[in-house]
Amino acid sequence: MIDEICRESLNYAIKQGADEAEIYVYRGNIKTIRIEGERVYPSIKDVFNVAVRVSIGKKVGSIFTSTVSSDILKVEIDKAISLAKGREEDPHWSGLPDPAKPIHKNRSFDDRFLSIELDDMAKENLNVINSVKNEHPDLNPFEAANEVVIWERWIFNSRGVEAYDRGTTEEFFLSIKGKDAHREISMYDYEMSTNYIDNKLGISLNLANRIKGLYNAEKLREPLRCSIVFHPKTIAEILYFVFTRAITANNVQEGRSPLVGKIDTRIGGSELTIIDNGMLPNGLMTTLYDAEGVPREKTLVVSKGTLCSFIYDTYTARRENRESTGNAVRAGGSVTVGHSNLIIAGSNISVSKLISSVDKGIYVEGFSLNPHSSNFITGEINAVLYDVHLIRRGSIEKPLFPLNLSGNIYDAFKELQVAGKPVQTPYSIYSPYILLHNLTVV
Amino acid sequence: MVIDLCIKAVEYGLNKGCKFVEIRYENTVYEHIQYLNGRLKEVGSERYVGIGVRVIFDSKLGFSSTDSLLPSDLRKTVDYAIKAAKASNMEVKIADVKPLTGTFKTPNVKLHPQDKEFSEKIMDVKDIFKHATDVDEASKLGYFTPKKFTIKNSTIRYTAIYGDQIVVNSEGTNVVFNHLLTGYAISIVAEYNGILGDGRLSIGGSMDYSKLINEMYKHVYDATWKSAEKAVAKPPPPGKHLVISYPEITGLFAHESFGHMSEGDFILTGSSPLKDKIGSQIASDIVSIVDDGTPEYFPNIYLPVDSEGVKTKKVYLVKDGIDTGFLHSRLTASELNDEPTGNARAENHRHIPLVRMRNTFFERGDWSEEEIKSEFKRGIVVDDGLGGQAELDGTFTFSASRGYYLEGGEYKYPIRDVILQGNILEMLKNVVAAGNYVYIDSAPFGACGKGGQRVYVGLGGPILVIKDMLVGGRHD
Repeated sequence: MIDEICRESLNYAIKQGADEAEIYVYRGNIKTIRIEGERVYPSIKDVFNVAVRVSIGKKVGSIFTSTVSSDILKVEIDKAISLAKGREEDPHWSGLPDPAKPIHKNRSFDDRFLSIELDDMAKENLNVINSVKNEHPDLNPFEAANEVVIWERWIFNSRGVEAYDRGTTEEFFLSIKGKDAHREISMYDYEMSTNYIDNKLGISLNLANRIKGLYNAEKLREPLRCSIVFHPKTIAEILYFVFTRAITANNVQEGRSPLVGKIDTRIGGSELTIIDNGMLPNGLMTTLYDAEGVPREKTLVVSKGTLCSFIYDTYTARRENRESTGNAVRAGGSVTVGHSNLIIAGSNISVSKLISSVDKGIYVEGFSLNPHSSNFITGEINAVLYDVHLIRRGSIEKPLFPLNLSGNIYDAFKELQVAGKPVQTPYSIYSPYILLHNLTVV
Repeated sequence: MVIDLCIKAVEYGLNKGCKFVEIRYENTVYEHIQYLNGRLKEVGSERYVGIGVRVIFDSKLGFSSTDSLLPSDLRKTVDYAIKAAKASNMEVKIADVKPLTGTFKTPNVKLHPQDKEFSEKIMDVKDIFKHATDVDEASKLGYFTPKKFTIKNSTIRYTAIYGDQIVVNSEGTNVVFNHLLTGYAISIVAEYNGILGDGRLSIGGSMDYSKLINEMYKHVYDATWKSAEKAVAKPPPPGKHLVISYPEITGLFAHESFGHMSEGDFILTGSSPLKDKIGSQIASDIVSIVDDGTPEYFPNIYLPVDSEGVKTKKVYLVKDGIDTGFLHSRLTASELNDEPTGNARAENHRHIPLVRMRNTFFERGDWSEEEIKSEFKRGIVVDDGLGGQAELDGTFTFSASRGYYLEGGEYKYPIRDVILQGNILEMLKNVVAAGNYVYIDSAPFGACGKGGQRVYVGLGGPILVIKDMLVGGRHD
């Protein structure tokens, strides 16, 4: 049915005067449980996201709508054509992607999601919360959310692309509040997976224990310029805001990246290797095709500290007479560039060895507060670190109050060290533990 | 007619045994234009159409949504909502309100953005770009703006969000709200002596398109001189300082750190430290904080009715330093034996209404800007918020893009990338002066996130002077 709607829409767009046309349809069935205190709020949604991109010569127009109703779609396609006609030519536009077969078969689809019912989800989440309360009666798990999504995606264009993908995702979020003699401590954990998350209780109890590990924390007495050992989740979150957008070709081409002109130059220490892999088995962003129907690929971005490549969609790739790396993402009706599964290479050394190499520094494990205020254009990091511990003479000495982190990611990359294998994080960044130097905490 | 569809869905839900049925229809358009480095990068339009259904069945609450307007799909969605209610564990009540009927429109709109052709708006964007990138004019402004800087990157953005929200429920509420929010934003990256600086400006609110353009031109060089000044700025000295916050930063305190703690759902879960504070002195007596759907100040986000079809009220969260009120939906008001305040908002039909803020701001004091500079001789002046987050225990961290180091009543040098950190309940006691004008940042370029939903909010206030605030910066 959706196939037919896509083909009819493309025919309609061409008939109305478009030289090329593309339609993107996402259909999701979303089951959600939100728990606030004792209250459970379940919901079920059927969601459509529909985007149409048309071109007339080098003029491009795009629209987005939430319905596949053919009457509304025709109105919106007319609008996309009108938008294209009303704008000036884009000299860099070289057309929509050409058809190509996927180069892997790693669809991230867990069949178990087909039989998950809302009342089972409610029971499971309440059991998790009650188990935390039973084991830690002094803690308050005050907010939780659990969402499962079964999705399908169609991307058709007038050059013959007919790309279909489907997948599943589950998200689990929990906030817990504790209180020591001096202060209240709230912390959350968040997991995302393409498979059913079967260790929700383990995640929750680990969070509870981490909160208790912060009891009787002390304040850092003075600003410290130091080395910091980051948990994979912590560093992934920071890199998401300060680094991932710097490697997208659109930001590079528009001068919005500090990495402009730095291909084949060193941007970090020899332990820094980063790969964008859209084909990673069970990867959060693993699909057969990217968001404009180009097969997913694997791209070496940084090799042993040397910047090797940026990531591209078709538009930015053709601007440089090269091939897309399969990194198109959708932002409403627009197509832009985004990472797929960004993997930072790990090492065989252990995190304890990494910590033992630090004379005076910090170990941090929590998600940060305010990491989005970091600036990817300059590489400046701003964030408040939670779940922070002081390292002295190679050992974790005591918990600290949250610390304000600042510094420049590229300065910090210079002497980076990694430990352990890359771990999946909700930002679709797979990171080992990372030790960075020359950062300031206060 | 859509309203007939909604009424029939209400009847269907009642016939299925629901005690309460609420149908919320949404048809909202998001227009956007992006002009990047002198080239039209994006012109687009997004339309969200669909229906959200909330029911109380067997005293339990369920929600579902559909993007289809077919009667058969809508009936299926009511069935899903009943199924969701059956999965809930809690009996709920919603506070009584008098059913509301009628149509609400954003006032004083002579030229609606939908009545202006995209091609004309593109011409406006191009003209704004031409002015905004005029280095000669921009270098005449600011305190430390270098004369010969270059612009490395420029982005002009236009956005308009408008449409209809209809709420029909089984109690007789039948409300149509024609909403409107529009804005322009300028973002500039300048280079001076090999150092980059970024500056930005956003103007917007629920306003007529002509008014928006007029407001934009009043400030068209601001992002540019700010970016250049930032290129010569230093990190602030870390440590405790007297901080002078300009309205954008003041608004972050009002919204992010205090406003969220006053939301009824957080009071209900016991996660807010304000739970037992009503009537207590929690701030210096010059502090009053308001949340209002239809504030007197311009610009603002005009929200006369909420997503439950409840007329919005002005709520004093703090009045003269005393904690005086919370924000409520019908659900939280019922649980806490309070009155609904019209604070139930949903991002769109796909989401259940949650307790959300509207326009949240500190009330004005009586200090002029010059009086503040001359009286408080040394401190950190912060402007242009880059966002922030706050924990429900009152801990916050906010980023200011730029500011000045004040010494001897004069700006000594510009500063950049300032982090402010503290606890709002301590900070409010340390407010020692408030400026004599209020500005509410209402531009639609950044929204407040909660429970997986993003809604546009206004936030602001006057200049505030706060003693003993922890400032983070680079320790070079």
